[in-house]
This record gives sequence, structure tokens and C-alpha cells, in this order.
Amino acid sequence: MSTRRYLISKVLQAVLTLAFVLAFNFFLFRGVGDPVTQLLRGHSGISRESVLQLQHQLGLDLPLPQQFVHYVKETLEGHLGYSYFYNIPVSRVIAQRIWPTVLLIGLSTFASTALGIWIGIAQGWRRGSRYDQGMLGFTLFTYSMPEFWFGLLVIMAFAVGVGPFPALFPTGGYESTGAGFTGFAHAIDVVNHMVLPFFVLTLSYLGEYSLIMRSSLLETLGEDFIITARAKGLRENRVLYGHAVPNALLPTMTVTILQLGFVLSGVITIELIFNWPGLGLLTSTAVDARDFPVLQGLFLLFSASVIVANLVADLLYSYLDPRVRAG
Amino acid sequence: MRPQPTSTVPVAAAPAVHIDAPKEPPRTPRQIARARRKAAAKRVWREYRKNKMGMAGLIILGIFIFVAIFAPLLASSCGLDPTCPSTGAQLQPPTLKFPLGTDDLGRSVLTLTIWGTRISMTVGLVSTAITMVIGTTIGLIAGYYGAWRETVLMRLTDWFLVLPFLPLAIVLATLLGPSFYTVIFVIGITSWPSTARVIRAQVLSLKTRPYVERARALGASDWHLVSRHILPNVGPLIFANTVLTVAVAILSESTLSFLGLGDPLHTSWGTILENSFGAGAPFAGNWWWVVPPGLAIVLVVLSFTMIGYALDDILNPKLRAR
Amino acid sequence: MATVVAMIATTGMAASALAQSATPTPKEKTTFIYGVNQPNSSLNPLVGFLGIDYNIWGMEYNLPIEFGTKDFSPDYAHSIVTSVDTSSDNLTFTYHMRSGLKWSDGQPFTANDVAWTLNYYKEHSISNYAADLALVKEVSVVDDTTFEIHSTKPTSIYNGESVFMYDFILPEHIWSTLDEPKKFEDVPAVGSGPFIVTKSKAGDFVQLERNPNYWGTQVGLTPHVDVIIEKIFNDENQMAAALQRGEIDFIWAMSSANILNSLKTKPNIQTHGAVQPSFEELALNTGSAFQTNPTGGFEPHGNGSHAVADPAFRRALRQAVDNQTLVDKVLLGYGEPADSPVQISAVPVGVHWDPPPDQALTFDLDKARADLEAAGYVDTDGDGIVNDPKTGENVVLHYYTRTPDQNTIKTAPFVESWWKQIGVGVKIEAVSNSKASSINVAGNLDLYDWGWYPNPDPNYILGIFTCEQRSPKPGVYGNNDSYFCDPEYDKLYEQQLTATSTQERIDIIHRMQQILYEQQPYIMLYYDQNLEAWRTDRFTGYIPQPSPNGDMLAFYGPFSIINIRPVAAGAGGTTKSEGIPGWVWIGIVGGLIIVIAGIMLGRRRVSDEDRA
Repeated sequence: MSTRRYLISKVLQAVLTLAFVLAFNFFLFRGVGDPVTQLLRGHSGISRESVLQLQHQLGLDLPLPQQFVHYVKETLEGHLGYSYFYNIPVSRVIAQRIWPTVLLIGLSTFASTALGIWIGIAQGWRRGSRYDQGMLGFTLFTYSMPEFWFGLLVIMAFAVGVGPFPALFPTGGYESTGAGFTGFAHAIDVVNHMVLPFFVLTLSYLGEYSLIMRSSLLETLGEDFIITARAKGLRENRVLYGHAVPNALLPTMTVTILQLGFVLSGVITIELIFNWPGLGLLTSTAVDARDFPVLQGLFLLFSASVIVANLVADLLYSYLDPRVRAG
Repeated sequence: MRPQPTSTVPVAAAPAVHIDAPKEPPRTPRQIARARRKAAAKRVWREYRKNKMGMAGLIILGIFIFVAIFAPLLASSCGLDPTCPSTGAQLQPPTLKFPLGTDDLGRSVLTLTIWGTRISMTVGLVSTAITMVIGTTIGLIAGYYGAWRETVLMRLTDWFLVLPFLPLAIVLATLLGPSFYTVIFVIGITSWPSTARVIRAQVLSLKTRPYVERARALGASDWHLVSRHILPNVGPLIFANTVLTVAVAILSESTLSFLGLGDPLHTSWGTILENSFGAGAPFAGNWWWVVPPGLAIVLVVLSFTMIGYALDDILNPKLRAR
Repeated sequence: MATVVAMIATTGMAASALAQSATPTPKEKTTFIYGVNQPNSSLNPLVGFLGIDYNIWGMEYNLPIEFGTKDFSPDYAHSIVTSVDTSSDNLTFTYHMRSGLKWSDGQPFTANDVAWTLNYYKEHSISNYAADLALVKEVSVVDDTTFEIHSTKPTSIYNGESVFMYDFILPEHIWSTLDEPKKFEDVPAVGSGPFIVTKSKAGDFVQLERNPNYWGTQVGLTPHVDVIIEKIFNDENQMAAALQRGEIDFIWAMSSANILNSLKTKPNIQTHGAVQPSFEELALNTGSAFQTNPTGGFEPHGNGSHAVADPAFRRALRQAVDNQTLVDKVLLGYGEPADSPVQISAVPVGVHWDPPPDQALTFDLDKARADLEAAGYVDTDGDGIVNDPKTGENVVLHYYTRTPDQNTIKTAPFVESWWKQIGVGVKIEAVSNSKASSINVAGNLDLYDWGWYPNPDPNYILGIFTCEQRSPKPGVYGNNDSYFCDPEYDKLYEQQLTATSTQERIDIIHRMQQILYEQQPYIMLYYDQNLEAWRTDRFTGYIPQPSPNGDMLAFYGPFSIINIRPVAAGAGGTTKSEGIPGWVWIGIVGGLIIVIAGIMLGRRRVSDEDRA
């Protein structure tokens, strides 16, 4: 199978998955029932007419298939609807919050992957050693802890201050309110605020990556070509970095990218407890406010990101491993 | 090739074979298979016992299972009710009477943590059962039958894999209302894709084994092949996978409960953390209300993970040390 | 590898050094930052509905007559309206305005703006304000400083003796030109208050700045602050830590008494449980399935029990709830037991009613049991739960708590325990707000735990209990969640609106509260306090409304926000930089380099050694 056919088939699959997600998204949120009712309690003097008006405005009085077609059309045009809660377009709400999340996830994924791989390689290479055992214990521990619990402990220790220890870092938020920093000062301010959530996310996920890398490397080391390489008299370093790691890296990478779904999950709780104004926090508040258009838009965005990430992983995998392309 | 394991368990002295001793009746194939499987299990257990990590995990898990079963004996259930006379002052740090302090309604955190074991572990186990049933069935069908069934099922699996877990779980739980049944259902139906994938891969490789082909040539039915040959060999993998899935399920339950999607009227470790967080324990420095439930989660998940990895180490031929 | 690390380190050090030198000099602008614990729903006065939205509008716009800080009675000295004349037939009310009023964009603020705004609210049934204008036939302009309210019936509510219209006046020259006023974001805003919104980021913050053309300076209202920021937190641990670190100056509302108590112990911070109108109640289903009064198109629906539809039963339940215990345990003391949905500080002054001692239904389990028996509820099958005389079945009530409000969750076990002791069973379920609302609309409950935040004038909260506010059938919303329907009450409701003297109105409203107390559609639990905290070393001059224990930063009017000023010259409102100073960063990065280098060098040596 040629590269082109492989690429095309992968892209087509991705598009098909996206279509499924779109349909799933729509029907999932319609199953909610009437969103109008919960918006109304506490409003003085709301009349029956205004309820019906609101329902009409939200397009909830059309038959379901028509609503679906309307939904698909609107989404493809980039109109994700109007937020029930903020009363501004959903795309605006999401656009305002996307950068902090990209920053946080991007940097922490990079750090945890790099660190995880590095630790995993060292462990796999030295299986059974004290380093391996010690690191195994450490990574298993971080893998087993709920990331939000760890975040709470970090807040208690570093942000609020414990006993004689002063509060070192800001407890949360994206930047110092009202300070009006610009340029470098602003960047440093953001970094200052990002240290704690970054630390928590990185530590929470590096365990997973190192464990996978370790297993993957161990599997690879069991393969024949490693014996050959050793028999040829290659230095250990060459065997490790020249032969074992590249082959062990492939499955690791795939799994890493597949983990994106779980990293997104972690980001939701971490952004909540650190008040980091990103998409994760938006998800929490949208759930509380039953803001279904926003939830729908977020869901679509998350799914689409995972689909794209998977596609990238597949393409990268095929580029790096010719066996895959050959079918 | 792996060297023959030398047995460290003394073998019971075999009776000396006399030339004129009565021969044993020939064993049926089923008996042979069963004996073989028993020997294999014994072998795995011997290996397992040598694995320090696995044994540690088993011990820790044992403790928690004990606590879950005997919770009423360890801590009176009255302690969960804020109107119970045994409650103490609100938000007190640990004392002799309340070894883990009290929460904002004066209830003993130790009692809460002990009782939380029941729900946290039950939810983890039941949702994993659902995951394994769905995942294994789909993986088996897809792997064994192949062709259009495989394509359809794997496409479905891929689609579900793509949906991000927590947002989907949150939305479903929001729709279905806050309760532990919802949590179980949500975790169950969102976790099966990875299991299905793993099982299918294994079935695919087993399908091409010589003994399977031979059995098929001899006219064995699908059901026979699956139940006699494939399932038992996938068995260990399913088991290892299950153990790891429970770990993730317990973590997921704690996250969902923390976000307010569990049942607030009952106690699980996640709801304790949700309460302490909402009541401002981190800021107020009520560490005794935050650390124990989280530590319990870590230990249980750790034990399952260690067991799972130990099993993986033993059962996965590619991982065996030289 | 080492080179890469070195490069990162150098950049890091350079950046932090630059950051130090680039730190801006303290701003000349005095900035006041207050924290809130939920996002604004909308800054548009036609659309938003949360208390924190009202806060913003209270700074940006004016009411016709402002609520005085002492007790909410009219403050003509500081309102746009200086006096009100009532016609002899109590149908026409002439409002005299101050002259020389301006909007923030310099345009004159005249009677035309008032008339346009009020007429708009009425014509378009804007839910926040429509109830206030129920009796308004039309608002007409007499001249630039005079407008008239023409009411459909003789009344006292517009005679200016008490503030009835809690309605923000908008600039006609801006709003009348909009195609879709409800979609208007109102940022930046044009207003008449001391501050106007200039910037906002949904769910993050709202920023207001001084109104350059504020008319209030005419009457001695001069702000001492240049910029106000409302910072939105989604978690109260965060908000409290921010106050402690000096990132914000004031916490406007918190729900966690635990955090408040912890803040009390920190230096330079003062805490306060502010008395406010908010209350929480157990709303009982007085008969959605049985009533027949067809007002509003009502059709019986739902599955509530017969027992709860019986006022004698409800009175017994009332006597089995100890409000003081709930205040102590659930609110940690930050509240007060409540008996009437009309709050203590309600206006017209004196309109709040307390049950006289001989009518009071105090907490008394024995009496409750006796009353239950007298009403026919006896345990006929000996299982500890009384039986409904009509059906013979055990009385087990469907009781819903709401997950977003921890107080409802914490209250439930207490209520359950008390009611068990008088033989009434409950089945408690926690649901979301929207689910609770749907269940109530369907009538499928016996009671739920919710609350209201009434306006200063009780007209709105009293209206909740009228027959036509009931949800008429499943799926159609109604404010009257107890399904209370009493023709005498409804008549009194009309009468209080059309009473021609304020005192007469007060008396009628007393009688209405008495009916509600006798009938117990709501078992009132408590008035919860607004939990506030602020830094004592930043700003001073907070004015409580009402005096002395009310909200320190009340936004019913701009008085408190105008009065606050920095504590000492240069101490308050300067740049709030926070976190680690530059030199610490250098140290950390430097340390990291050394550690990483050490590990790497160590590793290389080892791996060289263990060659196969």
C-alpha cells in the first residue's frame, strides 16, 4: 500500500470519527430535556409567554431532525451557538479561555513526557537495579494518586503556607489582577502563576509515561535484533540509544498521544483548584450552570483535538515505522 | 528460551513404581487439561510469591478488603450521621478520641474513611466488571470472527476511544443525576474500548496458533474453540487487565465524586474530598480532613497496580528476564 | 545536551533579571479589587439576574429613588429624584428630578431617560423589573426634570414614601438605537453612577473606572478610588488565599463559614457575617395533585402526598424543626432563625412581621407528636411511622436536596432525625438545581430545600404565593413552588398593591405573613448571613447597609463604594505584584542546572562501566 493511500485512508477515518462525534454530541445534549426551566427560578415576574419565547429563541420547538440539520450546518460554519449563561457566542467564550489551557497542557505534557521517557529508559536499561526499584516505587506512587488530591496538598504546602513555611507561590489565577504588567514582566507573572499547576500536572502524568516506556523498552530488549547488536560488539550506549530506544519509542509515543484524553481530564480538576482560567475551568462552571451550548462546544473541541492527535500519531508512526505503511 | 524452572517446593515423595502395581485408569482430555491448568496456576503463584512488588500489593489490598467487609465492626455507622451523639466538636485536629480529627459536622474522619472504603471499592469493582464484560465480548467477537464484524466493532471502539473520558463522564453524570449508580454506569461504558482492543489483539495472535488450527481442522465448533482454547489462554491477560482497570476505575470514581457527581448523601473517599474542599479545608489548614481519604485512594490503587504489573511481568512472555 | 541546558538556564536568568527591571512603577490609579465566588451571568441589565450582576449595575446606574444605608428608607438627598407629589386620587405621581444630571458620555440625563426606561421595561416584560411596574399604565414626561407615573389603580407604592422601584435607569440615547437590546453587551458602558464598566472577561473579571461626568459630586458624593475590579473565583480556597496574600482587598460573598473562621485568625484581616435578606426554606407541596382553583389555567398534577397537603400536618412538621440548631451546626452560627419570608430589613420600614408568642410554633417534639395525633396521624401498624388517615399508608415524604448548595445537604440529616422522632419518614435524594426545578414543576415531590433573595420591598416575594404563580401543568414553570393557593391571600395581595396609604399597606402585609405562618407552605429555616472579609490595611470607610450589621459593601446604592478610601497614603491600591522575586528565580534555575548536570555526568560514567 502506498504512502498516499495510507494517508488518505487515515484521514478519511478521522473524518468519519468526527462525524460520529458530531452526531453523538447533538443527541447527547438533546437528551437533557428542557434547559429553559432551570434558568428561570428566582427571576422576578417571569411569565409563561417569556418561557415560550425563550424556547422558540433557542430553537427548541422545532422537530428533532430539523434541529440536527440546523446544528450540523451551524457547526460547520463555526457557529457554536449562544451561551445560556454568559449570553455571548460560545465561540467567543471558548476563544477567551483556550490559550491558558494550551499553555498549561502543552508545557506539562512536554515536561512529563520528556521526564517520563528519560526515567523509563534508565529503568528499563537497568532492570532490577536500585535505581529501577526506587524509581518504580516513586512512579507507581505518583501514578496511583488522584491528581486533584496532590494539587490540594501542594496548595496547602506552598500556596497557603504550612507552619513556618511562607507561601511561596500565588495560589492560582493566571496573572496578578489589576497590576497591568506588559511584555516580559507579564510573561514572568504568568510563569509565576503557572508553576504550581504545572508542577502538579507534570508529576501526575510522568509516572504513566515512565512505566510505559519501561515496559516497552523491556519488551524491545527481549527481541532478537538486540542480541545481534550486542553480539556484534556494539557499545552499550549505541545498543541502547541507537537500536533499543527508537524501537521502544514507537509504542510509547502512540500511547502518549492516546493519553491526551486523560490529560484533558486531569486539566479539568487542576484548573478548578488552581483557578486557572482555561477550558477545564470553563467545563466545571458550564456544568454547574447547565450551560449546554458551551458544554456541547467544549465536547466537540476536546473530541476533535483527540482525533487530530490520533491522526498525527498515526501519520508519525507510519513515517517512522515503514512496516506499518506496508500494511 | 527460558531455562526450566527449578522447583523450590519440595515435591511429595512419589510412591515407588512397582512393576506389578495396578495401572491408573486413563484420564479424560478434560481431566488432563484441568490438571495442566492447575499446574500452570501453581507455577504462576510460585513466581508471584517471589515478586516483592506483587506480594506487597496483595497484602495492602487484603487489608482494604478486610476493612471494607468489616467496616461496621471497626467503626459504628452512627458516626456517619451528624445527629449521632458520638460526634465531636467541628473541625478538630486529631486527638486520642478522634485519631484523624473531625469534619465540619463533627464526624470522625477515621469513621468516614473506613466506611468510604466500601463504596469506593464497590464502585471500582462493579464498574470494572461491566467494562470487562463489554470489552471482552467485543474484543473476542472482533478478534475471532474477523471480517465485517471486526471492522464494525473496531470502528465503534475507535470512536468511543476518541471521546475524552472526563468531559463525557461529566455530561452523562449530569444528565443521569448524581448517584453512585450513575458513576458505575458511566465508568463502565467509557472504559471498555481499551480492554476490547487489548483482548482483540491477543485473540488475533491466538487464532493463528497451530493447536487452534488443528482443532478447527478436526471440525471443532466456534463455541468449543472459544471456550476451550481461546478464552483460557486469554484468561491470564484478561485477569491482569482487569486488575489494572479496577485501579483506574477507583481513580475515576474519586474524580467524579470530587466534582460533585457522586451521591452526596453517602460517603466515598471522593465525596469526603469534595466536602473538605468545598468547606475550605485546604485554606483553613484542616490537613487531617484532606490527607487520609487521598492516601487511602493512593494505597488501594497502588496495590492494584502493583499486582497488575507483577502479573504482567510474570505472564507476558516478552517481558521475562533472561 | 549540556549546551541545551546551559542555554535554557542563561535565558531564564536573563529573563528574570529583565523582569525585575521591567516591573512597572506603582500606578497612580487607586485600585480596589473585590472577589466573588461565581461568574456574572450578564452585564446587560435586561438580561442578567444574579446578585453580583446587580452589584455592578448598582455602581453604574441610578434608581429613581435610592435606598438609604441606614434602613433602606428613601435617600432623597442623594437620588436623582428630589421629591414626589401624589394626586388626590392616588393615580398620578409627579416626580421632581435634580437638574444638571449627566451621563458618563456627557449627554444630559433627563426625565426622558427615566420615562423611556420604565416604559421599555414594562412593555417588554423585562423579568427583573416587570413586577415593580405591574400597576403602571404609563410613564410620561412633563419637562426635563419632571416625569409622571400614571397607575392603573389607586395605590401607595409609587408615592415615594418607600422605595418600591428597584429599577435601573438606562440612557435612552444609547439603548433606543439598538436593534437587539438584549444582545447588547454593555461593555464599555454609559451610565450615571460613580463607576462604569470599561473591560470584562467572561468568568474572569469585570473592570470599572471612574465616571468623569458623575453628577454625584454635586451632592457630596465623591469617590476616592479610581479603578474597581470584580475578580471572579470559582473556588473559595483560592479566594481566601488571594485575600490573605493581598492579591485582593475584599471578599464580597463566601459560602464557607469554615474559611471565614480561618481568615479571622490571619493578621490584617477582618471578617463579618453580614445580615442580608437571603433565606432558606423547606418548600412543601401543599397540593399540586389535589387543588382545583383553576386560576392561571391550573390542572392538578404530580404525586405529592395527602399528608403534606394538610396544614395541620405541616404545622406539626414545623414544630419538629429546630432552626437554631441548624444555624449553629450548618451555618456555624452565621445566620438567624427565620419565621417570615419577608426579611427583617424589608421596607416600608416595619413591614416585617414576627409571630406573637401565643401563636409561635416553637421547636417541641412532644407537642408536635401530640398535634400529629390530634390531626389523625397515628401509627396504626406499629412500625414507628404514622399512617395517613386517608390512605392508611405510612407517611414517607419525598425530600429533595440540591447538590450545588451544601447547606441543603447538611440540613437533611438533622431534619430526617427530628421527623423520625415524631413518626414521619423521609426519602432523601440529592439532585441538581435544574432537576429539582423540573421535579417541582411536575409536582412529583413532597418538599425540597431552596432559598430566595428578596428585594427590599416584599411585593415580589409575597407574589410567589399567589394562585396564578403556580406551575399550571407539568413542563410549564411557575414561581409558586409550594403550590400555595388561598383566595383570601390573593385578595390581600391585590389590596396591598392598591392600598392608598403606606401604613395601610404595612398592615395588610402583616396579615399576609400571618396567613403564611398559619398555613406553613414554607417551613422557614433561617436568614443566612453574607460572609465577608477584607483587609484592614488597605481600605477603610465601608458603610454597612442596613446599619449596623448589614453588608459592608452593599451595592443597593453606590454609597459604600464611594466612601471607601486607602488606609494610609500610598499603602492601598498600588501595584499588586506577587510571587517570587527575581533573584529567587535565578537561584532556582541555577540549582536545577547543577542537579541535572550532576545526574547526567553520573549516569554517563555508570553506563560506561556496565558494558556487557
